[in-house]
Amino acid sequence: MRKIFVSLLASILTVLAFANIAAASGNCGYQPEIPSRFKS
Amino acid sequence: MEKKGILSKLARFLAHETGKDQEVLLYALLLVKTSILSYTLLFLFSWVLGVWQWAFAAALTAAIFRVFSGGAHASHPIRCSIIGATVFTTVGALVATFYIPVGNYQFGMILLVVFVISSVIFYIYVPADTPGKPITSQVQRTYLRIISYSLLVVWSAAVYFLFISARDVFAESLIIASLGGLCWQVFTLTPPGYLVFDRFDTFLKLLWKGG
Repeated sequence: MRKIFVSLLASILTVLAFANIAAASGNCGYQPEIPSRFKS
Repeated sequence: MEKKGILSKLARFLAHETGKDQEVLLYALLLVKTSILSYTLLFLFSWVLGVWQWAFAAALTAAIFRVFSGGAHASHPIRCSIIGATVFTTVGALVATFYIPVGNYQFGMILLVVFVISSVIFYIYVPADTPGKPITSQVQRTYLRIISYSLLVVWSAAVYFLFISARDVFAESLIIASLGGLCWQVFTLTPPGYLVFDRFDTFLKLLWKGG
């Protein structure tokens, strides 16, 4: 059960990160620097 | 990106357990933290003044447009939260205090003016990126502009029909607050918007450090 929860949480966070990369910016007034692997 | 702290530890733990990229997880956790901080502070500010419904109507509208159109940003999550809470509580308080019921025709005219101005600003400035996340791809710039326009059209049609079918002043005032949120978001796309945001950010930075 714990493994499923951890896996689900990590997947949701990964989707969120990718969605933010595809978007123009975050929904609030602060945009953290994007991870180096996404920099072209 | 922060190297220490609870978020970093949580990201390291999740990456270790699942094999996913730690930096990507930390990035997402920072986004979640900023959102929670911003909406909590906004709720506290606006709840104290008794205007949280209007403040949230404005903030959520601005947030949805911001995802696709971008705009000015603060240099720290706390400062972003304070600026957002101050601005949207002010919008909420202004609407809650000064809203005078208007007819469908007047509202339609106001909406038309906001729509035209927003369209022009969207055409010139969207997507308005930030130093932390520059948008270099032309394809991405094009689809963000198209989505922003589409969202503006859908939102305008939706609020017009909601307004003409609104049964009480409270519902009408929430729509006006949403309009206020859009106006602020559109303003933050422009150079004066960036300047105001930057001044606000610098002012809070000076307060933080004690001048």
